[in-house]
Amino acid sequence: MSSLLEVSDLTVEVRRHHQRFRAVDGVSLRLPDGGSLGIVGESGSGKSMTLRAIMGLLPRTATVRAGTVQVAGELVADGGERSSGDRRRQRLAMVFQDALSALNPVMTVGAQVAEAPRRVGGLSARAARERALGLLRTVGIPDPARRYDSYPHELSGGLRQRVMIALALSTDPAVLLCDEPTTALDVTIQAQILGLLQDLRAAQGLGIVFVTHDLGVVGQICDEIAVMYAGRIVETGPVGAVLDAPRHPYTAALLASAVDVDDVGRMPQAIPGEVPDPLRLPPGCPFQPRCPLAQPDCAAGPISLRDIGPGDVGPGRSVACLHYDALAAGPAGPTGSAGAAPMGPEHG
Amino acid sequence: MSATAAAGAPLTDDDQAPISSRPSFAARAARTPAFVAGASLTAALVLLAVLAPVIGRYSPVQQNLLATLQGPSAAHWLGTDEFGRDVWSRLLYGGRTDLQVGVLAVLFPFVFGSLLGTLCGYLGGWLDGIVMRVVDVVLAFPFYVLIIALVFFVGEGTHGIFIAFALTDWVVYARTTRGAALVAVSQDWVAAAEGGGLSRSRVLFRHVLPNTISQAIVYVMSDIVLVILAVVTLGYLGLGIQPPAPDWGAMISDGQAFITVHPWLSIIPGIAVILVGVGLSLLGDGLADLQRPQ
Repeated sequence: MSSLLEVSDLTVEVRRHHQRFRAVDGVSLRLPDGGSLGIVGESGSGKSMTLRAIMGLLPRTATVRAGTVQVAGELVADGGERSSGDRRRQRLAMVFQDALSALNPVMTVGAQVAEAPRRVGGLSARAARERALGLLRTVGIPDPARRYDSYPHELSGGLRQRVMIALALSTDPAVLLCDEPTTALDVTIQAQILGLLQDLRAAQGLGIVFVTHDLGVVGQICDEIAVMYAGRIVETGPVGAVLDAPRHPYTAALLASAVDVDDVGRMPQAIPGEVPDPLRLPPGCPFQPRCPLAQPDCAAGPISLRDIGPGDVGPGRSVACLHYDALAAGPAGPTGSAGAAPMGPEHG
Repeated sequence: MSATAAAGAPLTDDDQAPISSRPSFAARAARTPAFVAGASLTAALVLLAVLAPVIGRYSPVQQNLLATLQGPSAAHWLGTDEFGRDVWSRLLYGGRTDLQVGVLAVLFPFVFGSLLGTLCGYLGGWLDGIVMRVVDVVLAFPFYVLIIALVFFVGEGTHGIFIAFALTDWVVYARTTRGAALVAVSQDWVAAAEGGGLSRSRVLFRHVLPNTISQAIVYVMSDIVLVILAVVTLGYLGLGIQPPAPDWGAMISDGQAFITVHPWLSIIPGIAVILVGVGLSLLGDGLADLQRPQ
């Protein structure tokens, strides 16, 4: 199976208060043709940074230190090289979290959607307008000819998010990189937007990378899932298998912390401790101070992602944990003993 | 979640609501009191200055030594000065000079400062570092000391004023627009525009600049007032518009000699300066109000 998007060993360094740390550390991702991949993790886990690094849109304080990005076998980014005429801008497009801040407030939405076809695609003004109207129709905006001349603040949140998707589609990308595109929306609108993305994927063969902290959303629209913690991927695999039988204690804890509408009797359980300060990561496994399964060897050295499939977990599973077997033991999961688990000293 | 719930999904009531037509700029302007007051006052003063040759009745430099220091009369509405020149005519022609110099002097600082400031905020790096240190140095000097020193150095009169303002005044625009550009750059729409493959100059001129320039435009109004005050001050010090050309500053300073017996000679041009200042300041406030999202 050929891969549409392949990211290898991506490392991003961020400068803060004259100190540097790795916000993304050796992340590798693979998206098959027409596939959709969900990246989940807490705030600060590096998931958005990963997406921006793939797109080449890092903030000034962040730099790509290593890694390659390939789209359909073509190398579009190699290491820290950065140029505005980047090939990836034509193959990848980004959908941002907050459409109000991701649309230029002083330009009509139509002009924004028509801009790339006109300036980059080289269409005539009329053809670019037609294309923009077509895109606005594709994303389900009623009466696009009238909305064309609206400013972003004149549209509702749901319509703005649709405009954002139209804007992303205007460069005719192969892969949509979605950075929590539904987080700022209420549930009904969120369902509409997710449906729209599903549709686009089915109709146009778009690959989708979907960053979110909402496991339910990933379960709905993704085939594959990658769980990130402290800038690293700690577990990957087919979404159903991972959510049913997590093998990394962090994934299990994340699942236990989510509200389950089918099991209202079960209270969501917070993950003890807090996300480690990226400037002072604990040695070895970064989750080890919060982990109920932690053993002395967890702090000994770096733990890489290992293939654990198929076995009893199904194919295509990888996990970065030395003691993942312990999670296979019973349905109680690790969080059952969270309170009794020895908590490592706070970093520092 | 299936295909049926997607593009054709039921929209919320909000989305189905008819698109209300956006009130035009003129309609909104008419409902902004500061803008209406400022625009009318400024327009009236500009009209008077423009119509000076028509309503001035006398040449502003024509002397009549037989009729000096007269009070208001049918022949001389605001009286005459110590050379028998008509004060009303000198007031109108003086406004013509001062308004013209005020507008022309801010033109270069506005264009240059706004472009440079936006560029610095957008690109950052060494350009930003250098330009902002220059800005700091210029701002560290007391404004009038700097202007007077420069005019003294390059020569008095209008060209001296233009050069002095061109050299110093851009820093305010650069700093204002740089701040606005920094805010813009931190927003995702700049990333979205860059991610769409647009060139950096396109992103700069089409996306960032329209978002930074509005603050500069508001400042232009206060700045014209500042220049006119500076011109008047320089005129008062003898470094501004050179006699016998009419200028409010020179009128105020010439009238000072007779302040106890003929106070209107200084007070009338003083009132004119105040009216221009109030008019343009209100206009600037009105423009700022109009730019705020409703």
